[in-house]
Amino acid sequence: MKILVTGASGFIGSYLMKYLSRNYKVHGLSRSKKSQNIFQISLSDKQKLAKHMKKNKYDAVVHLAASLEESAPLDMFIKNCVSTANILECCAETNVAKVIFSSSQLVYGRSEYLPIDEDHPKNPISNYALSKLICEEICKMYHNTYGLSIQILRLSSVYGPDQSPKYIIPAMMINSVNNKDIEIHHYKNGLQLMDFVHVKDVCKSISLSCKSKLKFGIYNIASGTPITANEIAHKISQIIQIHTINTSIDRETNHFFYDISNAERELGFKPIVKLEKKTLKEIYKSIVSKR
Amino acid sequence: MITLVILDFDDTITDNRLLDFKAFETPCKNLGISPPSVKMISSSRKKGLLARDIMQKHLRKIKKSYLLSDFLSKRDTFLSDSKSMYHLQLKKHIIPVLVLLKRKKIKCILCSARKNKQMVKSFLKYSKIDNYFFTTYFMHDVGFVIDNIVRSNRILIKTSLLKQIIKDEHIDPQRILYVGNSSEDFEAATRLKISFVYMENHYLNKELGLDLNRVDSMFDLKQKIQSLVLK
Repeated sequence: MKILVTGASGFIGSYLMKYLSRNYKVHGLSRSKKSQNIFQISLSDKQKLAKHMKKNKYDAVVHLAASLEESAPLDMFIKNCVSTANILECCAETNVAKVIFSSSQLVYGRSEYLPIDEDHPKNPISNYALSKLICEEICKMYHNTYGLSIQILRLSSVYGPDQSPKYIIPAMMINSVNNKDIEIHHYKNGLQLMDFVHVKDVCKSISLSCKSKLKFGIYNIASGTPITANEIAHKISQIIQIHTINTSIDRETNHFFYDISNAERELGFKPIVKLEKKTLKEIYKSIVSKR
Repeated sequence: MITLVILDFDDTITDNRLLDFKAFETPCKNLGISPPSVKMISSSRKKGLLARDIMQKHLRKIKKSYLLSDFLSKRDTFLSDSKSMYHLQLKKHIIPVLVLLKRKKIKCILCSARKNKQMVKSFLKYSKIDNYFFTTYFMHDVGFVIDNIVRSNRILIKTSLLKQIIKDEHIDPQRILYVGNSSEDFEAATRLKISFVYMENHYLNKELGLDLNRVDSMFDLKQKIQSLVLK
């Protein structure tokens, strides 16, 4: 199988390139060329993209690339929708057998019940989330109209070594390394239920989707186990000395964790990596090594 | 037609007035202070105030505000203790309602946002009504535990419990009747398009001014169920 990955230089993309390369021939698309099998092609340049895809005849395409620039919401919104439409159009034209679209937990918005299943109402509350939901609709249209086989994966909070420091786990660790207090009130008073899935499990879910015989499906990809910021801080304290402060008295928050039974049943997905000492140590090492 | 009736626990099938008073009295006794009066508790509850708010007001009055967190922790311990169930009272005429459901072969499930599952189960057994319930659902059954003092959390817990019942029973929500006593219960039922009957409570505030299916006793509820079953 020959697979194309968009967003190949991103956090998930770089892990996925390595993961899939073990069994498949893999090419990546990225804004920056970092290795021989990564091509620098803009997803908004449909002609160039179509030419590349015709030449390479891919069996599967994993569409991870997305802009997160909330500072330029309209640009980000248009960019995400146009690049998704372009990639799907090229997939239809070049008879790609399988498309995997990486969506987000954010499409659900405020949780109405827990665990959140795929039928939960969708009320996105950011431009990014709305762009993901619209991209899902574009995927559905390409499946219905052109018969493209598409799997949509709604990823929860992904974590792992080498993640950007703006995310909660590396952020907490970097604060600790710098002897700064971890301000738990920045994480919804520390009581918010969240759902973290390890990047290796995400890669596995994508690999399973590539092999899936199903023509269309939408799946939550998460751990299915809730955890709070307080619990994460406690786990981090087992490997590094930390000090937490909490000045918030607000107990109102949006809790979320996901029902992954559809992915378990239809894709054979089972998250293996647990958010525990060993996993956190790996993240800690990656932070220390960059200092 | 209704084929499943879900009953809420606190203040729906039980009368919690005595338990609520004891949950003020016992911790206050332990702290060596006088508890708020029954009249004050009752009038505050009618306004929809939580135990924290009531006690905050009381402690301010007796100039001992610093005891609030101690009080709340002792109150929590008291309510988590299985012995506290002896202060709960079963609502009058509940047995005919349960018998009617059984006779009409309508499943009856008990659903509660409580953390202490064992206490409720013991209460049902002690009151000899456990056999009328097909099963029971508590917060732990949906895989999470959150603070049930916060209103939005209570709605989330109730909706999650009802959703879990729908999934487990493979039932169309339109075939369910949910009997509860709060706006949170109503909100949860509405989110999932489940018919709702509001059990009026002379103790808590009559918070729902909406045009609802209301009953003010188990006798009324029995008639309501009969009319819904015949429909």
